[in-house]
Amino acid sequence: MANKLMTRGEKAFAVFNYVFMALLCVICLYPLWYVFVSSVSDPVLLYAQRGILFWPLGQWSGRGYRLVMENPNIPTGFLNTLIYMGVGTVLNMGLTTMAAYGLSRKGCYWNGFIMKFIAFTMYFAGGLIPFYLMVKNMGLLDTYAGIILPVGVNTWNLIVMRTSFAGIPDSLEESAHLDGANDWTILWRIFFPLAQATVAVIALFYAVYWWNNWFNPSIFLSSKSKYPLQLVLREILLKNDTSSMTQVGSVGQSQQEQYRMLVKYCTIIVATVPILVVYPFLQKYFVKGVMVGSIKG
Amino acid sequence: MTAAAKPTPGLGMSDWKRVLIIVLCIATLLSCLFLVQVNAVQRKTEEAQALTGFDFLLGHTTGKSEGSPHPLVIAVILFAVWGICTAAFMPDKFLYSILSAIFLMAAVFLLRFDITYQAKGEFGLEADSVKFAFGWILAMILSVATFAAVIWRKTERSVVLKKKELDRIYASANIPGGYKVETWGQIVRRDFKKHWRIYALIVPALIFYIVWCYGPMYGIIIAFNDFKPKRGILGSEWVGLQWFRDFFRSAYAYRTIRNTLFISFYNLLFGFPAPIILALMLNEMRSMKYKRTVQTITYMPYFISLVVLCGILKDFCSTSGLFADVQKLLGVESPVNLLGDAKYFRSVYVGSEIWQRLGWDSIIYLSALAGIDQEQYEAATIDGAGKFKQVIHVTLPGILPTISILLILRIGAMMGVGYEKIILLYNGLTYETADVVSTYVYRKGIEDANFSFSTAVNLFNSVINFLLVVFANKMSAVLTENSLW
Repeated sequence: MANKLMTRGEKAFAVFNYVFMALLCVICLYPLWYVFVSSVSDPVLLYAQRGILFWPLGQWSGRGYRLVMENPNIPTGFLNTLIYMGVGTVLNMGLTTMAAYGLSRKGCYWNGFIMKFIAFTMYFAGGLIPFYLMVKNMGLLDTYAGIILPVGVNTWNLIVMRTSFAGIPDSLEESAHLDGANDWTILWRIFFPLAQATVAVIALFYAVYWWNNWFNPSIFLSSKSKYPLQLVLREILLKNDTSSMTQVGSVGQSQQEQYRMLVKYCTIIVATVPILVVYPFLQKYFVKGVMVGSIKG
Repeated sequence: MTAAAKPTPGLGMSDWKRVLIIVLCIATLLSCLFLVQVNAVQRKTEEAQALTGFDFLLGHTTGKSEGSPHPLVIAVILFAVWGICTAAFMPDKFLYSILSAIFLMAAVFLLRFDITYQAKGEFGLEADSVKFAFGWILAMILSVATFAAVIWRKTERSVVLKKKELDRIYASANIPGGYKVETWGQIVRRDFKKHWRIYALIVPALIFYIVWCYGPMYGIIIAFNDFKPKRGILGSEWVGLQWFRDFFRSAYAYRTIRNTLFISFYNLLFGFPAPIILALMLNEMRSMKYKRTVQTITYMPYFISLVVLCGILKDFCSTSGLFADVQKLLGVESPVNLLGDAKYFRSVYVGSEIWQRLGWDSIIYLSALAGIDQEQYEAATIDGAGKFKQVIHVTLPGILPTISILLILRIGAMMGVGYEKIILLYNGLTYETADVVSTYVYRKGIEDANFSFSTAVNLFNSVINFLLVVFANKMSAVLTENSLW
């Protein structure tokens, strides 16, 4: 029906629209493609190469990946990130759900005040240095706890969760109370399962935070054995710390620069592929998260 | 019947407890000034020439601070005046009264440490301890009394109000009286008895907020002193507004504020409309499959971590990278390193920001677009509106509330350009355009360990940010009837 009504101008726009979108997709994907084909190229050819790259140069080779795998910092980084992510997300979720449930209950005298007390921190903070000194004074510098504890609750997530808990009918809670359940049981047996979608979204947001987290570790950690993956990546990608990545004896001095480029690309792929592989499956949750967050808290 | 429309009738000028609160605030203020004067007199005998009348009143002179008013004394004055004003003009805003009383107590409490330490540090002598202790204890008692009076008034007042309310209800229903009204204390106790399990669930998060959000706020004190880790936050020497003056007299103030505003502005100018346009274009696509593919692909860059993104950017921008190759294809003789030239930093920053966030930010507009009533389009078609006119008259007004809220939020965050991305991207060559307030704070504080100065700069930025957010929210409330709180 709509097609019949299309004027010439609209048809032109439709064509333009489709072409533009295709172009946009290319722009979004090409950098990643470039990194990928570079990572499997021949290091010597890659180093000499100038111009836009569409296919791997020379023979497909996994040499760069072997070098990356031989770098002990990367598996350690993965492991540390998993630790931070696991412990951190569990802690975040525990604190957030409990507080969100408590704050969503009606009739509690102090809840309004506590909410204001918490919301204020969204608009005003002590700042970087007092925060740093706080961690330092508690003796948490260069510890796992120093990374995990200071990010206990994200206020935004708390508000989103509180909104979703508040939307659950009161009658459920009342009947559970009549059956002799206490607040703790109600939270875990009734509210947690009912708000499952929001809980999943919030957990996902926390997990992504931990995956991407590099700044706090960079100022609080001094021993490399505790570095999360992103910080290891920063050393390799941005600080040009090649000492750890060209330890392999077979690589001579002259080849270092060539291998450095290759290893960079391979590292990017190794660090990004896990996220990009799970992303399409989780996309709908992420999108839902944006929608939930847009509802006024 | 118009009286019924006002559920909280004022208690009138006969509310003598209000007067009591005001009197107590003034008394606290005076006792603090007395305290300061004792201290100043003591000093005057030692260093008479160093004191001016102004310093005498405000009790603060060190060579360094050039006679700037003592921040805590200013705080006491401000909170006392605030308390007086709320008690006098906003008698129903108990939260404000309670907060002002709490802050007043805190400021008086801190004053003791501050002045004694300062006297020791500066002149190597103790303040006149008997008079000082007397003054401080007096001020403390008065400020506690202020707090107690506020709470007392709240207790009594809620009872009076509830009685009036109940009287009205009973009268309107023609039921004879005979009810009990709880006092505030009883309400709080009953509430705690009934809800303590719920509060127990909130407490862990509350502890987190107190320690990790309000704890650092307490640390802001070091913005006003010369913080030495060995001497502690309260024990370090006070310098008043010295660091703020230092910052504003340096060339960095102009440079960092300008860069912050420019980066925000460009980001707003190019980054704000882009997702709207994308959402509108996606909305016009008929092939759902194609649309979904485009969405999936454009969301993807958002999931690349910041470190990896900056790593890719740095590689692409280098003289042997992809962008240089593209420049060569476009006929540039000798391509430059885009991240090594201050001219291009903002473009790289804003461009990559758009690349990463474009698809993601369009989600919210797409959901707003999905909420537009389809009948409006049909009606517009019947009225003879073409596609373009429909966009102008139906689609855009439909998403205007979303646009205006997000725009106002962006404006509220103008001074809040984060340091994370810039730290990863900038270098000495690009400081001229890349160095924003937050990165300056980072460099001064973390790299140079200039804790106090850095905190002062950060505090300035936070205060501006806070004011902007409040302003933006007010604007939003006025313009769109949507506000954050």
